[in-house]
Amino acid sequence: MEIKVVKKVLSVNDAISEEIRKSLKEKKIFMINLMSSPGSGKTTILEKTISRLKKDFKIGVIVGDICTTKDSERLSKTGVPVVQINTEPFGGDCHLGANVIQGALKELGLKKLNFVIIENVGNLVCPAEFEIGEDKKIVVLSLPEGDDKPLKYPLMFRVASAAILNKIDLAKHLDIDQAQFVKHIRQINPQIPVFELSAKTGTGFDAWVNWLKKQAKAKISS
Amino acid sequence: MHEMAIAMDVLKIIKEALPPGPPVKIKKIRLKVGRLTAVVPESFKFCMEIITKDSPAEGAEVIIENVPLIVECEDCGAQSELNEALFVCPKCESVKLKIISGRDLFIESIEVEENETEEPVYGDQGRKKSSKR
Repeated sequence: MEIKVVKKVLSVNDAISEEIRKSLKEKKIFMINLMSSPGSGKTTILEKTISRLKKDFKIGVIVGDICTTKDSERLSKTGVPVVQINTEPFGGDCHLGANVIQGALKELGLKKLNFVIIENVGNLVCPAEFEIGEDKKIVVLSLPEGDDKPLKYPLMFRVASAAILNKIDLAKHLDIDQAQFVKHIRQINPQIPVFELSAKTGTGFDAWVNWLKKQAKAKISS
Repeated sequence: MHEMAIAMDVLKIIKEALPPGPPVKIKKIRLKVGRLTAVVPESFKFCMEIITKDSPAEGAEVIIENVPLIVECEDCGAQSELNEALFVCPKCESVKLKIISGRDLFIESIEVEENETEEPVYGDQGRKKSSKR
């Protein structure tokens, strides 16, 4: 006997994501979800971004990692509240689900915030599949990873609202063509803004910070 | 790697879809998975195998139907199937594309084992019980 089910998998996750989205809309809180492979520079980008934005916004951070609190220790030094999520000490979840974010937002406390940053687990595949109630998904790619990554992991680059191309200070040491990175990102997502920058030296950082400010202000003052 | 999370979700949904009454055995699980999803069929099937142990779906065959990536051009209106990671309208080369299908991830149906001692019954559940020998 065949039983028709026709039910979306991850509908539970999507429902919680919608709850979060609704709650953040009411509270006028802007939330971004920063995703990339491990080692692309998410934490350094955030350290610099937070120090540039913290006088204009009340920021809180949620950091997802499989284990260790190294990222949250680094980000705590910026002076903003940080909640660390460890998905499992030995080989845990490869992404943050909406239920985990919901709990972390409670722990973070939203009353004094208007800007939440989520640093997702380093992974170019899985986090792309999970809505977590964010306003913008931002993908980071760094030059040493190679220009083929957008083509190999299209979903991540397709769902993102903006892309950061990090570590451009390394271009002179690598046998690469930086324009190819941008070309391949736009092949997947033609209208996406791409910010080519070096979080280490600060080159190109203004455009990214200005764009982010504009997005945040639009939501907060809505 | 998140295939395990998805498999757990699938098991939960199919358990809820089972008819009330005595336990049944699930023989087949049919899913539709879009091209533009981050699901690896082999990993997913492996996770299903593990997660369904000691459940009504233990040993069930997992059948995955792939859903093509279809886009609609917002400029020329053409619908096209994309077979490579190049989001450009094959007809007019516009980049304004809306995804029509390919992000799908849903359970279509399950097949449960028939009780062999029963005759096939059409409609009336009451008769089925009274006709039991």
